[in-house]
Amino acid sequence: MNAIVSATKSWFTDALQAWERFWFTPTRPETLALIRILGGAMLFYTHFVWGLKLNAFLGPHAFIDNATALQLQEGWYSWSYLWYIESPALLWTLHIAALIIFALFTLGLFTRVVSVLAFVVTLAYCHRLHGAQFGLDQVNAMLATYLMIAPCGEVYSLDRWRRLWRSGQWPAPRAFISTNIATRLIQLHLCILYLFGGISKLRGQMWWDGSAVWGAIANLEYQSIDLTWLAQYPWIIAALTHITVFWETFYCFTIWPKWSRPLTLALAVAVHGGIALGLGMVTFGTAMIIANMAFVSPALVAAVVNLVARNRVREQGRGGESAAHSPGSLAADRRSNPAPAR
Amino acid sequence: MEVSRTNSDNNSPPTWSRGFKLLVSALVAFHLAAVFIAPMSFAVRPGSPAIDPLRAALAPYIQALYLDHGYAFFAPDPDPSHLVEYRLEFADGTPSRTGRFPDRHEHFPRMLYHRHFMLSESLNTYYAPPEAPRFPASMPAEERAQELQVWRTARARFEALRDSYARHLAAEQGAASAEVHRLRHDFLPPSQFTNQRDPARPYKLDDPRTYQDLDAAPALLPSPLPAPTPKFLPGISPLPGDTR
Repeated sequence: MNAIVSATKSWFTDALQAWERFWFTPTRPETLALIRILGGAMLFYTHFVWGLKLNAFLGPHAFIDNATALQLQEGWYSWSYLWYIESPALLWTLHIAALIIFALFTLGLFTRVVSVLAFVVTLAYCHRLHGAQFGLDQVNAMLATYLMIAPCGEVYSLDRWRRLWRSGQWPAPRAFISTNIATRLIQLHLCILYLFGGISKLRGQMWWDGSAVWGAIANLEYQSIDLTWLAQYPWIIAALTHITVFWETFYCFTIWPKWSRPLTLALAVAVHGGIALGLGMVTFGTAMIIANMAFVSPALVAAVVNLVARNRVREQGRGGESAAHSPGSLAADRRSNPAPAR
Repeated sequence: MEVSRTNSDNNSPPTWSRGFKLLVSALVAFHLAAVFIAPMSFAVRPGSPAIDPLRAALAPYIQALYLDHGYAFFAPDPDPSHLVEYRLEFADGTPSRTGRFPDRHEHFPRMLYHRHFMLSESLNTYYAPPEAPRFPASMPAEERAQELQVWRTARARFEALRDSYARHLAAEQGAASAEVHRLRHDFLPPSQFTNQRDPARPYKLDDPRTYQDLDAAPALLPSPLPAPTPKFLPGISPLPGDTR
């Protein structure tokens, strides 16, 4: 009996320690900073495009005017300041302010404040523009929510330049627990997204008989590249169909082990790249790839960024010693920030 | 909030108190529950006695944070796409004009085209038939009243959406009125793209015979393309809500 009690206690202790490590290990900021830049740029572009036909989507005579938007969401717990805007001048003022917020967010200036504003604005547009949205908006909202939690302007940002200006030396990137929490939330949200994306497909017939990808290829409204020649090779269509549904369904299991993570991420790039190029959803495919970057370690991101930075410095004819003192260099980081491994 | 020391101060990583970690753990668990329950509630439609109460409790948080998604992309099966066709009538004697969206030639960049595409898909998603549903005589009166109310709400929402589109199109192009119809664009089987195609049937993606006006009077409906025969594995019956 004592052995059973002891084993049970040991299991609970191990579980708590695993939870502690998973959520509360301080993490370097490079991955989240890169997601901020790319996700912020996507937010900026998304809202820039709304502006190309602002009155058609948000004006008093929009496709879905405010009264209709409110009727469609009657009883919902959603809110948007845009529901109360009828003046085109005010609408444009707020829209330009939104674009400025997303630009500052991308550049990483006053990030702690701007990230919250970006979150508020993103959700306001999502709730107002019900009926004109697709998967991109779901990913945009997800990233805006989680990036708000952590100091995602810690590196690769104008905020870092401001700290240099104030202190006179490059500040070492700091590891934060909140950075880890935001990263984990993106990772788990993706797992849930893909799990339900996969199992919902399993309820269909075409995802089983191998013809589902044809249903996308032969859909003229989605098509951006004519792939109907694949009709000559039904085995390719079937293989793409089966790989897609199995990758999506089991993503939440294969993304975690070190040996299967690179393959899972490579398939993510392939699937979403295919969606981007073949189905005309470049933004959605790109946004999903950006979100998947949450599974790339900050050390790898830093190494790639430093490599690019060093190559650019060499091309400009400066010495290697100068490169060691360039922003975010690995040498500078090693001197001052022995961050824990993920 | 977060005790974080720069690593130039000392080499110890930032720490949180146990109490704060407990609070954050509870918040994280709550949030992830909401993220999970949202698509789960879509998956178990029309409902599950285990999921429905959780969904109801978390609905304010789920909807406020824009988490209310099923993530059923191209699921359960890729569907035909839906467009909107409209006819504009002018008060000044200008001949009536028809149009259709999305239109990849008119709507650029691609994201703008896709926004119009989502509008046309939404109109079809919100569709509810003009006639009230018929119920079996054995259905209890209370249940019948509930179903009727559901239909009335759905129909009102569809009409509101359709009429909003019509008002916008009329205002945008200076017309007195606009009539909006839903189009379904069926996709063709692979056989029509091989040398075994049937020349009597459509073999181009934009063949006019592949477009069906879903709101046309029955007498005006063109001969529909034969619907794909549902295929199910032996012994497996279609799930509720399957359209095939």
